[in-house]
Amino acid sequence: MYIDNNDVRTPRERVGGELLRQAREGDSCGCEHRNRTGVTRSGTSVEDHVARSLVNGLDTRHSMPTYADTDTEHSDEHSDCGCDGDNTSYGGNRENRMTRDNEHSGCGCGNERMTRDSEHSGCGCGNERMTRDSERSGCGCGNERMTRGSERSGCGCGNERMTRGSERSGCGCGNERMIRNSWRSGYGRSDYRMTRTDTYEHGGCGCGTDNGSWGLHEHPLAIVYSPQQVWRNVYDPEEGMEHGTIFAELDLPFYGNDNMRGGGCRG
Amino acid sequence: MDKHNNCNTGCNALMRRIRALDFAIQETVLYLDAYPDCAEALEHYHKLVCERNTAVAEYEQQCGPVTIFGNTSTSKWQWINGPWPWHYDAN
Amino acid sequence: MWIYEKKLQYPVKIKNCNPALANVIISQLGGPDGELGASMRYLNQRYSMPYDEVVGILTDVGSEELAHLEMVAAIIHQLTRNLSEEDIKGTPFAAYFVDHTTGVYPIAASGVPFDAKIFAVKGDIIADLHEDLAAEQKARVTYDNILRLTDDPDVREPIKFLRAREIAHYQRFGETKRELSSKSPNAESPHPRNHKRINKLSNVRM
Repeated sequence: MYIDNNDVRTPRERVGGELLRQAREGDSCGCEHRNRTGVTRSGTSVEDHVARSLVNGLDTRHSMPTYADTDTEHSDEHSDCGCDGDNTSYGGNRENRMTRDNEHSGCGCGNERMTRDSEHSGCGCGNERMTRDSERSGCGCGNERMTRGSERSGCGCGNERMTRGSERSGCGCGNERMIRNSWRSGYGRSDYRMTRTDTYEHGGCGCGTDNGSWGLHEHPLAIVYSPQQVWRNVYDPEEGMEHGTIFAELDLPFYGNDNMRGGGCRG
Repeated sequence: MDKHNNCNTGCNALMRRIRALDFAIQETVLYLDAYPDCAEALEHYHKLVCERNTAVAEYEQQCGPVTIFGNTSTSKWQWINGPWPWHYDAN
Repeated sequence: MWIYEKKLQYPVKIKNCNPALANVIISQLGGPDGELGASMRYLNQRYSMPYDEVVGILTDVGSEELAHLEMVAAIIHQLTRNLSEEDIKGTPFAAYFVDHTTGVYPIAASGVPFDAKIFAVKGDIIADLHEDLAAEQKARVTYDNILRLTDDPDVREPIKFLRAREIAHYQRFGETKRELSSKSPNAESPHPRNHKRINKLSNVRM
């Protein structure tokens, strides 16, 4: 290795720099091997790793652990290079390069590039790119891209994109997009936008959600499906009398003679 | 009873309030029959029942019994007094 | 047992008599989808039900249907009070009048008196709850038809209330049936999650 005496870098920096140069010039990031597919640990840089290896007298090219395609374990402290076997250089094509901001990265999250802001990233969340603002992201929330403003995001909330302003968002709230900022909640009507009172802490769930019953997609044959009603803000007693029910979602008035088509006297 | 013809205050207003509360309780009861573990519904039920008991006590003191248990007079048997619920004047 | 409250669930205050309309509305008293049939159906079905939730719903809805029966009777009464002979002669009400005067008798608009044959008590939860769901819808249709036949707001208001109650009851029976399904799946469709198959659809031990 050429060493310039005027080089003011530390030996570590020198070695790392040299190796980086080598890597950028066409070598792989030092792994020579395919993408790692298993669990990673937090990364110090490749440079540090290689530098250490050099100091220890190891061949830099093989100082990084080798990873078989199915190797999911890393005994080495430092995470992999994350470069595929197509000779993608470290500083070059970033198509499949993974960026990790924090210590715990999720695995098994498909082949998509992942960006994680929070500590606990969910796995098993399908193949969609996920953006998480909150700490606890839900898994198993289908394939929709989810944006969460609150801490507790609901899972199993169907396939609609959810926007939540309140802390406790309702699960099992059907497929309607929910906007919550006012007092009146509705449910179960395709054109009914749901809103929740500010003072109503427990929004929507817990009463009427299935506990061990079947979801719609799992419902067996020969058993009629009836949706469960969720307890929401109800009408005042006097208003309930006017509507014939205290539940807005059961308030379905009669609109006239439409049903007489084909059977009535009109032409 | 003359008190029933006093439209704006007194017995008619109290009876209207009792009817509304009873209806809300009935709806809540049916919901709880289907969802016995719903804490919100149960809380709502107790709030309504408390208010209902107060309204009924007041009505029975001023106007007459709502059930056979509500005869407050010790000198007169009020239960048989008209109008009865299906009469025009009772509503 | 039952405690009677000296009030209607919803007020009935009809200013104008209309015996022809009474002749139609009386179907909700003694007709095939009327309130007497509904209350008898639910109150009798509950005796053989093995689950508390189902008994609760049937008892409470059945009792409410008795209250609705009283409301329909109040409508009939108020539509037929203060009649003169001219109001009756030549109207469909004359046939009813000759047998019952202005008494309130549970009969259908067709003239067929109330009959227990209009409802079923099968002694099987799934069959009975489906019967109840159908009954609520048929009652709702009958109220729809009554609303089509009158413009009198004094009549329309209590009828609309009664119609809304049928919809609410329908939802409750649906929920009861659904909860029940998770306990007692249809024999042809056991659900894999229901490891402990409880086949308690009736009280018969077999």
